[in-house]
Amino acid sequence: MSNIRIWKKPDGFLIYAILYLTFIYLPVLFLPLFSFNNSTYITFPLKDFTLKWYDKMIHSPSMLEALLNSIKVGLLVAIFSTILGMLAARAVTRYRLRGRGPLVSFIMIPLVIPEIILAISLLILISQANIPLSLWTIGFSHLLLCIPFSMLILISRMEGFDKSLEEAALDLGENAWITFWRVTFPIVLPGIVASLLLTFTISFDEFVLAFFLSSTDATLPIYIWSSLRFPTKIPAVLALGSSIFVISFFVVSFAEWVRRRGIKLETTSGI
Amino acid sequence: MSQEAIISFQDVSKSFGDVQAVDGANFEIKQGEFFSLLGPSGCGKTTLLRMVAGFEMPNSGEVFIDGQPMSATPPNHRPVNMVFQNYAIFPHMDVRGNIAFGMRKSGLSKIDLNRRIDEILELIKLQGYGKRGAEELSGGQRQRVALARALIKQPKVLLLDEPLGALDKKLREQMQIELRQLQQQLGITFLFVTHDQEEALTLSDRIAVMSEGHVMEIASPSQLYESPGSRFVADFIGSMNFFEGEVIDVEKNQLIVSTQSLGEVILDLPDTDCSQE
Repeated sequence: MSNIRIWKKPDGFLIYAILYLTFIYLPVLFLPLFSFNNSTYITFPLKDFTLKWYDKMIHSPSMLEALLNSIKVGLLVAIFSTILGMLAARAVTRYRLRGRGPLVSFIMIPLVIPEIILAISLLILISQANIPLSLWTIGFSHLLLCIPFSMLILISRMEGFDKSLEEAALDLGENAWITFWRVTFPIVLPGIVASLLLTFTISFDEFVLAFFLSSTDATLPIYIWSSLRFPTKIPAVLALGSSIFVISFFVVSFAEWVRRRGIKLETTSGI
Repeated sequence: MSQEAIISFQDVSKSFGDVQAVDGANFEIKQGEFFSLLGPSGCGKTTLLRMVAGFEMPNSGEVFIDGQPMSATPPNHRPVNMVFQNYAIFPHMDVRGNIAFGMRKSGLSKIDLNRRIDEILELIKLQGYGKRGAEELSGGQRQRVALARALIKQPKVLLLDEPLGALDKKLREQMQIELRQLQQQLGITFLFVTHDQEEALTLSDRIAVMSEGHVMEIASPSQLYESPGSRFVADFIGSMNFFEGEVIDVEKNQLIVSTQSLGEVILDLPDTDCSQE
């Protein structure tokens, strides 16, 4: 009897949840829909089913180069941002720092500065210093943008970290370095994975900074933006978008699998 | 019990900023003893323990373990192991993983190590729990795992930082008995930190009563209970009646004291010098 009552309650929430999910995912689902549509124009009614846009995508070297550029920048940014964020998070959570509050807020400022302001100031700085614009300048600006996100994620993960676990590892005969790899790292791994994923995503679809700080090497968002001027290129962009959508689904699932496995990683069989 | 000192504090002092946590600790713990540091919170007992483990360094003085000065030895190279107050069980490993943690460099083959783990699981009465994760253990079981993880290293001294504080009363009493049995069975020196007078009196061979960074008195439980050396110790150890009085006469080994509430009282003097008020 009481079970029925429990089931009746969330009905209102269920409708809300369905509406919410529809609102989020319906627009995204147009992407694959039109990518299989045999027409240059993105309108209803749909024409025949086709794979030619995917074929076009594979045979568009400039698009693939932009994709590769974005992945390169994204990976480097994710790795460095996570390492630096980790060091900062450790310092903030582990030691009693003087002026910790103001320091953390200061580092978080890029989160609230409008990106276009950041982009213009960086452009001025970089051109004053006579540094040529390249993927490196984009990567640097993305790093600046991503470190606060890494820090936020890792601080929240490390704040709950029990310091006596590290002391226990030392006490049981491991040095600081091995202690990090056997205790600290596996426990904060979910935070590291989350930081890597989030910062990669931020860099991957960041447009404003990349637009201001790029030269001839375009990242994917810039390529997409520039191809809007040529309507014939758009369906191939949709095909690419759909592919990225599917791939990121698998990447996130994989990351989640790694995270769960990380928790159960070390048993006696590993020694 | 041999009378050799396994741990020796020589004028050990430690301060944190303005707070003097330990002030001139100067005593020895003997081989095979169950030794307790007893005192109210903030008296410096945990700091003293952490200096033995190597997590804190004395500002002055020296801690010796088995005759060796320890100031240049990091925690991972000291022949002592610790049971932490919150047990510090590694959450990402199962019970066997936790127990085997410190044995990576033991040089034991996998078969021998597994046998050792089985033995120690039996010792702490957790047979069949080897594959349990840390999250699936009760407080008492966590404590046993923490004990096993330290004991498998065969330390010269086992350090216990209020290990029973988080358990309920019944379990605590049971664990007291088991701890004492374990200590006698293994013959390992136990250095035990507690703020619970009853616990210290039940378990220990000797107790150091501490207050505000000072060691007030070191004695056996019966000595502390029956003839405490100072008013503070008497007051801290248990419910005592205090009678203020004036010494009127000293005979061979008797004191004649005049008190307001009891009149004249004849006290037998202990063998040691009398330092009572």
